[in-house]
Amino acid sequence: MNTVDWIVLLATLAGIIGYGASRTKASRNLEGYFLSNRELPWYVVLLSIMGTQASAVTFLSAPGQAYTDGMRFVQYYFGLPIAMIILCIAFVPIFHRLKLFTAYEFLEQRFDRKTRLLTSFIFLVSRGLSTGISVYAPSIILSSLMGWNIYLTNIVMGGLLIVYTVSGGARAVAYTQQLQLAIALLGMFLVGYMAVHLLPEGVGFGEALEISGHLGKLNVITDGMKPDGFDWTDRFNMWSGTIGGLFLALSYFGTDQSQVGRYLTARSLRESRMGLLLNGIVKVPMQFLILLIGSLILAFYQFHPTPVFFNEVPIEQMRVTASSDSLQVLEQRHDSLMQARQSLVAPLPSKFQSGDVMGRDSILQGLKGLQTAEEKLRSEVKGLIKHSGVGADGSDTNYIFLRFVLDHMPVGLVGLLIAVIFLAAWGSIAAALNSLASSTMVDIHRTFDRRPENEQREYRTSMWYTFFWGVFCIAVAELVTGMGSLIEAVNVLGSWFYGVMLGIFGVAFYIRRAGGHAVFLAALLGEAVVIGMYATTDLAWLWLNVVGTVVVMLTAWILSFVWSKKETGGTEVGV
Amino acid sequence: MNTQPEDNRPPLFPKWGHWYALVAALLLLQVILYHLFTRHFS
Repeated sequence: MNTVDWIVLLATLAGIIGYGASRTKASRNLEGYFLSNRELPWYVVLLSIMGTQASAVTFLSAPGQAYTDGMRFVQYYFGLPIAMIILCIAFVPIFHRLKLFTAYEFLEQRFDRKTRLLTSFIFLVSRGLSTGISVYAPSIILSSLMGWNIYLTNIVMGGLLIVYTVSGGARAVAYTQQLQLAIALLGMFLVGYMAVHLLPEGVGFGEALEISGHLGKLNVITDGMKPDGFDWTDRFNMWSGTIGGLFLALSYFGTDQSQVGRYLTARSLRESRMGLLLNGIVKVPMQFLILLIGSLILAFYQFHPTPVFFNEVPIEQMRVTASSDSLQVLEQRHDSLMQARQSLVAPLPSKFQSGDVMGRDSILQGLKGLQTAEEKLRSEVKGLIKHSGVGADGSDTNYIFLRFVLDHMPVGLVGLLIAVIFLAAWGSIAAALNSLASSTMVDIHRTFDRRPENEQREYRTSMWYTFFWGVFCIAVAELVTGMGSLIEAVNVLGSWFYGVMLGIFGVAFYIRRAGGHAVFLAALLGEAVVIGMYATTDLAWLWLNVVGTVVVMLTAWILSFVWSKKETGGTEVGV
Repeated sequence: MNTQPEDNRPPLFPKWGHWYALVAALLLLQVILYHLFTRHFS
C-alpha cells in the first residue's frame, strides 16, 4: 500500500473516531448511555440495525461467495423481511410498552429470574465469543494479504472503537454506524464500477453478466432438490433461506440484545417499526448488489490471470515443506490453464461488438470448460494446503475480494477499501459491546447489587463494563489466533444458541400456561439437542435454528402440564 | 428524555397492516424477479 492509501486509511479511521467521540450528548444515566434516551429517529435506527448486522466479513466474504458458489447466497436473507413483520406485530410493541432496557428483562416478568439469567448468560457467552471472532476474522484476512502483524491488527480492529463506544454509548454507536455504512456502501459501489470499467473495450455491464451467467454464477434462485429428493445438507436454497433464515432472523433481531438494543433507542414504537420494516425492504436488494460485485469480479478475471490460491501466505509456506513439489506441478497446470484462457477469451470483445452470437456462445462454452478445470485444480490446491500442515484455511473465498482490490484498484481507493473493512467491523463490534455491557449491567449487576440505585455510579460502572467487554473480545481474538481459520465460526456459533433463545421467547408469547420451570428445562434440553445434532449430523446450520426453537417450544408445552404457570410464578404479558 | 406523547400511527398508510403487506409483496416481487434473472442468465 502506498503513502496516499495510508493517508486515506488513517484519515478515514481518525475521522470516524473523532466523529464518534463528539456524539456523546446523551444523559449520564443508563437510559442515556444504553438507549440514547429513547429519542432516535427511524432512519438512524434503520442504519444502526443495518450497520450492526453488516460486519466486515459481510463485505469481504459475500463477493467471494458469489465468485466461487454463485449468487444463491442471497436466499439466506429471504426470511428476514417476514421476520421483520412478525417482530413488529409480536415483539416490538411489548418491548416498548414495558420500557425495557434488555429483551431478557421481559423474561423475568413473564417467567422468573432464573429464566432471565439463563437467557442473558447464553447471550453474553455466545455474543462475547462471536464478537471476539468478529475481531479476528477480518484481522486474519488483512494481516495475510497486507503482511501486517496479526496480534497488532486484532488490537487495532477491536481496540480503537472502544474510545467512542465507552465514552458515547448507544448514541455514539448509532451515529457512527450511519457514517460507517455510507462509506462502506460507497466503497463497494466504486469497486463494482471499477470492475466493469477495467473490462476490455466492447465488454460492459451487460456483457459481464452474460459471462458470469454462462459460468453458472447468476444462480440467485435454487430449489435445493437433487435426484433423490431435498438436500438437507445444502446450505443456501430457497427453502433453507426462507424457513431457516426466518428463524435465524427472528432470533437475531428479536432476542439478541445487540439488535434489540438498536431499535429500543427509537423515540417511539412507530420509529422502531419503521426502522425494522425498511430494513426488511432494503436488506435483500443490498445483499444482491454486494453479491453482484463478486460476479463482476469473476467476469473481470476471465480477461486477467487469477492466482492459483487467493491467499498467498499458505502457498509461500508450502514452498519450504514436503508439499513443495506437488505444489509446483499444480502451479504449472494452473499456468497452462491461464494461457489457454487468455487465448480463448481474446476475441470475445469483438464477438460482443459485432453481435456474432454463435462465435460468442462458442467462446463462453469454452470458458465454462476451463472454469470447471480451474475449479477442480483449485480444490486440489486446497486439499494440498489442508494436508501440508501449514495450518491455514483450506478456503480462499474470503480473500478474493480484497486480493482483487489490492491488485487492480487505483491508488487511494485501496486505502478507502481497507478503511471500509475496519469501519464495517467497528459498526457491528461497537453495537455488540454496547449490548454486552447493557445486559451485564441490567440483567446481572442490578440483580445481585443490593445497594440503592444511583444513576451516576451505574453510569460509570456501565462504562467500565463496556471497556471490559472490549478487552475481552480482543483477548478472544488473540487467543483464537493460531487456531486456524474461524471465519465461518460466527455463523455456526450463532446457530447453536439462537434457536433456543427464540424458543424461550416463543413460549413466552404463545404458550401461556407454561411457567418458569417448564421453559428453563426445555431450554437446557433444546441446547443439548442442537449441539448433539451439530456434532452428529451434516444438517446445514441454518436448520439448527428451526430445531432449537421447535424443541424448546414443544418441550415447554408438554412440561406445562406438569408445572403450570400458577405453580411457578410469572406474570401475564400477552401479545 | 423524550417526553412527547407517542404517535404510533404509521406514515403514508392508514394501518400498519398495509406496511406489512407492502414488505411481503416486495419480497415476493423480488423472488419473482430473481427467478427471471436466474432463468435469463442460466
